[in-house]
Amino acid sequence: MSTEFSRRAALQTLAASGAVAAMASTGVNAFAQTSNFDSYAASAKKNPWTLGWRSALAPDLSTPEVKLVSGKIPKGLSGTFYRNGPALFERDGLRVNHWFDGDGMVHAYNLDGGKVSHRGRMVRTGKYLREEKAGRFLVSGLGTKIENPAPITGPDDVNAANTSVLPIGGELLALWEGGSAYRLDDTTLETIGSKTWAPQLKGMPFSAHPKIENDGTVWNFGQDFFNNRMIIYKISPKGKLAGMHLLKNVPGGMIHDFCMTEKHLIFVAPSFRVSQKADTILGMFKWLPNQNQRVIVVEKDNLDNRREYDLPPGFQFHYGNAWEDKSGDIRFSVCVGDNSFVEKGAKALMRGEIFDVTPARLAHVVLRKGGSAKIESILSERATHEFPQFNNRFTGQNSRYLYTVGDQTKIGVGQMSILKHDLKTGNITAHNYGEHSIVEEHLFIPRPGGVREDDGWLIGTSLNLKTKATRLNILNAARLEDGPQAVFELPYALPLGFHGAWKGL
Amino acid sequence: MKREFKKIMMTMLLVTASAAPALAAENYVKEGVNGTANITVTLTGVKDVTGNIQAGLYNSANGYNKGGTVRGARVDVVADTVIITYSDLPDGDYAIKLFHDVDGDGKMNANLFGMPTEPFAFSNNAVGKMGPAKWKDAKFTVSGGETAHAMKLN
Repeated sequence: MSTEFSRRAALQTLAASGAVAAMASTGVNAFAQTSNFDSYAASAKKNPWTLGWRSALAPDLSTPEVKLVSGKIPKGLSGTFYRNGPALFERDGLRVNHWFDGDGMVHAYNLDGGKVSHRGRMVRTGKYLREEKAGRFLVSGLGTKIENPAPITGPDDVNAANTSVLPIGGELLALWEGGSAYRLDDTTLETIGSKTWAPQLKGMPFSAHPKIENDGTVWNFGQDFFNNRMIIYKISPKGKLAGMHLLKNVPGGMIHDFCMTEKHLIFVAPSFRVSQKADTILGMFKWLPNQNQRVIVVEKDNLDNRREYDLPPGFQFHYGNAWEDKSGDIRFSVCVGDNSFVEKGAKALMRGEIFDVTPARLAHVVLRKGGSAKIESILSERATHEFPQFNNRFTGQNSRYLYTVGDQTKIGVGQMSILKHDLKTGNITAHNYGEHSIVEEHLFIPRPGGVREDDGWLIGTSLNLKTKATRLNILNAARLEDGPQAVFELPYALPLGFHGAWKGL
Repeated sequence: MKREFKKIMMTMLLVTASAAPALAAENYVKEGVNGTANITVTLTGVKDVTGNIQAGLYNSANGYNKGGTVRGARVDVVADTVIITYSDLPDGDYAIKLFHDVDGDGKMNANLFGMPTEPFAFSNNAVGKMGPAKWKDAKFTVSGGETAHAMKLN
């Protein structure tokens, strides 16, 4: 008997007995969901992939010497690979509703003398410390509503510091998109406190996707989607505020990332916009399938000088590189999809369930100086493409190679390959880690003294579902198809994270 | 709210004669609002022992929403608990809005998005949602004699 048939039969039986009417009148939902906690626990017993969304085993983790599985660290590659991601999902029997609501844990993989050490620490945000003391979640996050919440006086009261990292000014900043950056000691990863760039910027959002120029100058933004505006930050290479600008008339679509040419900053307000009242921030956003995306281009040297474009409806988390040709046309790469992952997929994962999301596709966009914008090409194969990276020495300049995580696993959760896109020829080379792997962002590290754009390494983590452990992989960016040059394995599995940064020795 | 406190401050500058120097405090008293009740606020949650507390007392929803105080007080912060007193009040409903002017510039500082960057509190420790707490949540009743009210900075 099929499931559908048996459910219908059950409904008919219930209806016949008058039970449905009785339940309706007492407000009991016959198909009430089990709690996230129970649903995940049940799924975890049979689905190895759920390991990726299990809380970190302890608030502080350390492995002085990580086991080498194969190969060796290539000569010339030494430094620290930092990562961040949600790592605490449960308190007092409650499991958060949304992946992005887990509290952040920052990791440091130190590569020195051919060896690797690992350290991971929960970021001691105000939220984390208060909830640790209370023994329960106190505040609603992006997509989780907490009952009997503690009072909130600003976005930093719900700051999870769980999205990325930025080494700057002798410190490491743990980044989130809705509030202040958190300052960490870049060696011990101990939390120092929240970052205030200037008194009038205290408590303002500092996004998790700063862009860095070749001289070390950092550009970033913080969005106020309730009031259609954003703050733009310019930070000196030494980590001091060098400029700020309030950009108005930015439609209240969820802007996670942006891109940058030598002269311009490019922001895209997607078709997922603040449109309604709700208990959670995420609930306030609504997918507007007929709403074009709005592109806003501002000049770095004169942030009041802007031009705007429309792009077809869509939503994206991440951008690749952007550059301007001689005619003034701007081109950028973007992983574009819709609202299904942020609204549904990232919630299902927390329940140990899989929601079939619309894949994010790798698109290349042109913004004509004359005023028109279009998607020049879009890659439907091997999607979802996510976590796009490139040689950051080429930030803002015409670049040929883009690296993404792609090739969905058969189980339908996560991607198993790291891919290299040659934007000139359209060729793709890849390394497939195998069906038992969920691959995370891989950064491009240029070889010291290297000139060729792909002369360097990719460094990134993957969760191996067979060994139930997190691996650190190093590949030759010029020859991905050869597979990793070195693989290290931690004695534990870390929850899957988001973004990282490299600090060379 | 910022504008209201500015108004309190300006009013206070005009009535410095009524300040009580021994308490290092300055008070604003609206004429014609007199009685026999006193309110003593004990404010905790002070993080930086510096600057002063500026506290406005209101006796109606209209005054509360539009910035019409019946009493204003400025008290220097010299310890992590601050006592604020309002004297000779008629019985009725009251609410308090206060902030810690940490840098002593007479203004409630805000960031470029308009979010307060100096600690504040409302009576009953009421909390606003995307703005100041509402009158109905912040008001408390005074009927004769001494009323003690505890508040905590955010």
